[in-house]
Amino acid sequence: MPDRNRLSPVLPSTAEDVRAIAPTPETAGRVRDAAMVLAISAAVLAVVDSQGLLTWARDLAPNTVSEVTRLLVYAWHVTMDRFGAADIHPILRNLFRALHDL
Amino acid sequence: MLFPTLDFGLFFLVVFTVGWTLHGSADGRKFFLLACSYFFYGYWDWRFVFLLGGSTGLSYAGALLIERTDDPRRRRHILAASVAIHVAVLGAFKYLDFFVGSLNDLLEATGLERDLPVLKVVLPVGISFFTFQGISYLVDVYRRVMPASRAPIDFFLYMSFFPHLVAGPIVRAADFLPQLKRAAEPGNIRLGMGFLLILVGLFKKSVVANYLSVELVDPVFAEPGTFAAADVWLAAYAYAIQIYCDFSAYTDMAIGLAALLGFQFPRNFNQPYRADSLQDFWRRWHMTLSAWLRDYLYIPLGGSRGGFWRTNRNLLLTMVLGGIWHGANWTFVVWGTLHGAGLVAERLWRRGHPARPQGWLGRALSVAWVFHFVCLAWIFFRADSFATAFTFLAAFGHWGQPAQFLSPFLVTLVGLGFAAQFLPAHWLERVERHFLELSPVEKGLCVGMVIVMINAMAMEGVAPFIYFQF
Repeated sequence: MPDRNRLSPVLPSTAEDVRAIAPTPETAGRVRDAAMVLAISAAVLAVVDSQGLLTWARDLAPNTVSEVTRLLVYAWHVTMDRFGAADIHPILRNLFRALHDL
Repeated sequence: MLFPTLDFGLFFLVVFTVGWTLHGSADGRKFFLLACSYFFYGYWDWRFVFLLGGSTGLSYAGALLIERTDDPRRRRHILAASVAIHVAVLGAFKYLDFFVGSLNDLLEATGLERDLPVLKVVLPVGISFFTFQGISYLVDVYRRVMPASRAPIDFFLYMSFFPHLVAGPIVRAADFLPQLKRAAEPGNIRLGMGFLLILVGLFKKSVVANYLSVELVDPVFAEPGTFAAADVWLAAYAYAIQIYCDFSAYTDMAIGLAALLGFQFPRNFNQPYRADSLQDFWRRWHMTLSAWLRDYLYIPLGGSRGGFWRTNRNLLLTMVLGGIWHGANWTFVVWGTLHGAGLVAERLWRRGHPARPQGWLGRALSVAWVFHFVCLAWIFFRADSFATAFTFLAAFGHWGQPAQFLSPFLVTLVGLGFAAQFLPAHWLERVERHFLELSPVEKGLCVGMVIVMINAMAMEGVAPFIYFQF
């Protein structure tokens, strides 16, 4: 194998430039924690953006499973709407649109 | 199935949950990840699953044949045949119509007009990336850098693993296969960096890249001659930021997703627009492609072994071929040639001026010069034809017209994109340390709220990633 460092005047001179960052004792985490983070963040998204969930469900290809999914998602959205949670996402979006249109 | 979509989110939840549930059975987990990766690829177009499988089978069998013999001639022939098939397949899908079109133009120009049929071949997503990985594996086995894999599931998973499959980073078999040999460790994943990279990638793609693309770059590049100088200058800067945010977002998310599944990918970008030389730029931009071009193109061409001028020739050739790799259009050739010529010019300049720029002013001027050179080259990269590129360049002088796109929002996005290049080198690691101090519930709430914010800011719909077309 040729000596890469000597042969390359331009491209990365050391293998470390493209090496992955492996977990260290300080940065290593557990899958159980990652699963909890995924579950909670998915729940936050489902609560705050139930309208987005509804839009997604409406676009599903028509079949029995998607029909049931649509009904469940619709019921979920109605519940979130009743609690006022479904309003959070549109409020944030309008706030951002106002900044965008300045 | 694009990363920033609910479809992909649900897909990943299933992969993560079932994949880690199977961690006790190494083969079961690998087989599951392999099946998911083929499902992910087939979601675009199921017919190309056979192409991916064939390309993988070719590399797997070719490497075994190379390893089986010690005869150097035979080894070389097997390598040449395997690489030739890879290149022929890539060429057929990616360049056939380009060559037929160019030949038609040439025949027309010489008065020998023929209407050679253009086949309008559909480009399989990610073909360049998995072809490059297959070639690098074959060459590494030929060079005896690594042994040929004798585990088909491992090798097929390496080639098709969904986070890197369609737009990189280009992962080497020597880096990835050993990770499959180790038992999956559910207590040892880079959780914090995984989530942070996914969030950073989501923001860069869904907010910065998409707004710049739809509200500024696309309209100006569609008809550059009709816009004011201020619009065209802003669009040139905006495209530099857009392509960085678009492509680095994909690889950030790929690295983050892989990290959550317990795998490590090489990083692909390192604040490229803070480079103070073109050499420095290529150490920071698409780093896995740079390394690939170095090891499998530049060095076989002779590298730096033939003296100053031969090195320059090899450098120029490598960059021109790197340009062609990006797409079947002469504008990509010009983009690669500009970078190659720039690198050669830089080496010539250094010969007479060995000292690097001194002081903050010298460095700032160097960074500004390199950034503007890169922006100039991006114009050819983005333009669909030379006519568009030259009209765009001419429009830099349209100072009499009123600007249409100079809104605070777009200027801020471009400014933010550029300012992000000058964040401290390990800023994300610092954020990671703080993130890791939170409890899992707090982490989940943080991640969820950031996704909600990004979702609220994002444009409607999801634009495909620029590098999917390569």
